[in-house]
Order: sequence, then C-alpha cells, then structure tokens
Amino acid sequence: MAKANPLFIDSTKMTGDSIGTQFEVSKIAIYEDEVLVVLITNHLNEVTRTLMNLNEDMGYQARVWLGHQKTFTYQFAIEKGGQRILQSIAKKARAQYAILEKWEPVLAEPDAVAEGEAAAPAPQTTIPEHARTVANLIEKFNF
Amino acid sequence: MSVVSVINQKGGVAKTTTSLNVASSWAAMGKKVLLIDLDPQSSATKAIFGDQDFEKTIFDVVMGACQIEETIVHSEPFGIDVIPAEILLSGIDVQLAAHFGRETILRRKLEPIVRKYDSILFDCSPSLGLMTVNALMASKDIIIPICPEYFSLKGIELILDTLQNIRTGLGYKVGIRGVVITRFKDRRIAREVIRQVQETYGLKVYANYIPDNIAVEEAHHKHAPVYKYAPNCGAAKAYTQLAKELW
Repeated sequence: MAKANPLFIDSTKMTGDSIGTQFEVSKIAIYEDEVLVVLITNHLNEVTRTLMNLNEDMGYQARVWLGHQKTFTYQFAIEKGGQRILQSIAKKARAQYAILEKWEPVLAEPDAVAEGEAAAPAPQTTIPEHARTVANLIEKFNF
Repeated sequence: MSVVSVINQKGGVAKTTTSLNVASSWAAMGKKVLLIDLDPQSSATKAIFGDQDFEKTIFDVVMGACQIEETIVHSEPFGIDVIPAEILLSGIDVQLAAHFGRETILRRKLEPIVRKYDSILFDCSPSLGLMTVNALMASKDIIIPICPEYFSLKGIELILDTLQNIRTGLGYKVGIRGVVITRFKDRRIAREVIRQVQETYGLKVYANYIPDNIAVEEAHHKHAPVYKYAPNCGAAKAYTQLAKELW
C-alpha cells in the first residue's frame, strides 16, 4: 500500500467518514456470459461483492461506500456462471475517491494455492519410539 | 470561458513565457484574459510590471485578507488583467496546513470574477505544493510546456502522477489540453522526445513549436509581449499562431 501524500487527502473529510469510492478497471475484455466484480473487505472485515458496469469513457466501473482513509482490501474478478475464472491480486489501499487500475490477472489462483498448502501433510514432529533414547537406538540398530 | 493552468513541475521550460505570451495574444484576439501568478518567485509579475511593489497579491486573497477584485491590476502593454504574486506564497503550505478545505480555496475565491473573463490562466510554480494543487482544483484543464529533452519526459510523468493523485485523493478530474514545445531546436533528439510524448503518453502536441530565440528573453526585460517587442521574429509568430491553436 502506497504512503498517502497529505497534499492529496481531502481536508473536509474526517478519517472514517463515508466516502463513495469509484473503482475503475481499464484494458479488460469481458465476454457476454461473463461479469466483472470487485470484492472488498472493509476496515470492519465486512466482505462485499459489487458488479462492475461498462462505461464508454472509463472502462468498467463501480462505486462502493467506504470509510475515508480507512484501510481495506480489494480484488477484481471475472465470473462466469457463478464461478470465478480469473482474478487480480488482492491489494490493500486507503479509501479515497477513486481506485484506478489496469487489469492484471494472476495466473495461479491464490485460493487454490492456499488450499493446496493447507491440504499438504504437516511435517512429522513425533519422535519414533526407537529414537527416544540412546539405549533404544543401540538395541534397534545393534550398535 | 476557460480556466487553464500552465504547469510543469520541471523548472526552466518557459511556463511563464508561455503564459504571458499566450495570454497577451488572446487579448490581441479580442478576448478578456486574467493571468494569475502563483509562483513565489513572481516571474510573471516581474516580467509584466518590473520591480513594482503590490500591496495586495494572490497571497492576501488566499489568506482571506482581501477580496479578489481588489488585487486585479491591468497591464496596458500586455492587454490583460493580472493578479500579482509575492515571495510570501512560499510559506503558504505551512500557514494553511490545518485549514478546512485548503485544496479548494482558490476555486472558491475565483467565484465572483470567473464569468467576467473569457479565459483565466494560472502561471504555476515549478514545485508541487498547496498552491499548485489549488490551481489544478480550480482549472478545467492544463497546458504543459516542455523543452524537448530527455528530462522533459520525466516531467510529464510527474504531472500525470499529480493529476492521478488529484483524481483519486480529491475526486476531481483535470483535463490535459496538450503539450507546448518551447525552446525548440530542430535536432533528432527533440523530434524523438516529441514522438514519445505523442505515442507513449498519448498527449496532443501543438503544431506550433516555439523556437529558441533570444528575443523572448529580451522582451521580458522590456516588459512587453514578444509579438510587440520583435513582431517579425520566429518566436513571436509561433506564439501568435499557438494562441490561435490553443483557443
């Protein structure tokens, strides 16, 4: 998350005031049976999914109400038939008037990677019975 | 009616020269023009009025010490109205740091006079500070003068970053009218830079390049627009044509 330059922070808003943040994604092609959504986790850990609409001048856009200068996480995703088919990397930002992005999908699906890691067997930490004492080792391996 | 900032965060690119000569050429076209000097070094003020002191300047307007109408001075040689600057502008960021709505002071102060002019031009300071942000928040669009050299591309990147920050942080979209080529010398590197400005950044470059010409500097010393000081020189003709192109 980039540091906030105080020159560009609206002095008429208190931190946490409700602010309509415009999300815009350019350089993206969405086919007829697909939709683009923005997934947001706000500073209260509330998750929202908002459909983005095509605007001729700005590309895909959506407006979401957030707490001014509060940190939140956002991610863009293309969905088809309710299934997520492509997504951008999840980013943290401070809520301001606009978030402008060029579409950059991540090729490996982060959720799948995370699940894969969770499913992998945990490293064995139990010490086998024969290795617990030197006497056992001598007996087992005939030292 | 248009409100335009002449801006480049890089210094020495003929911002003031462009502001003065374009404003004056517009006045010669019969337009009513106001030039607001926002540079603490007061280059535009000094180029027009010499070492004349002004009791009320744009600093007083922004600080709320007087009404904007009280600061307007007419220049006969240039045919324009001017709001002068002064060195105290350099400390204004500190003075206004805690001011509610500090980014839009200028926009609010312009309100009583904005419809009296065909065009209002801000001659911005080369640094990015609160007055530059105020100028951008009060402008419909900007004109970027550049000398076509390697560092001018970096200057354009800085401006584009600033405009994006204004959009994201303050919620205001400033348009870019185009890029004015100043101090032009017909060399391969200059042509290459101009091509990059058009192709890499997708910006409009005005067709009338201002040639490097000593008459422009001399005109400042004579406190006159270059089209009056040396009407037959290339720079004078280029500024006159550029003003028509910009209008």
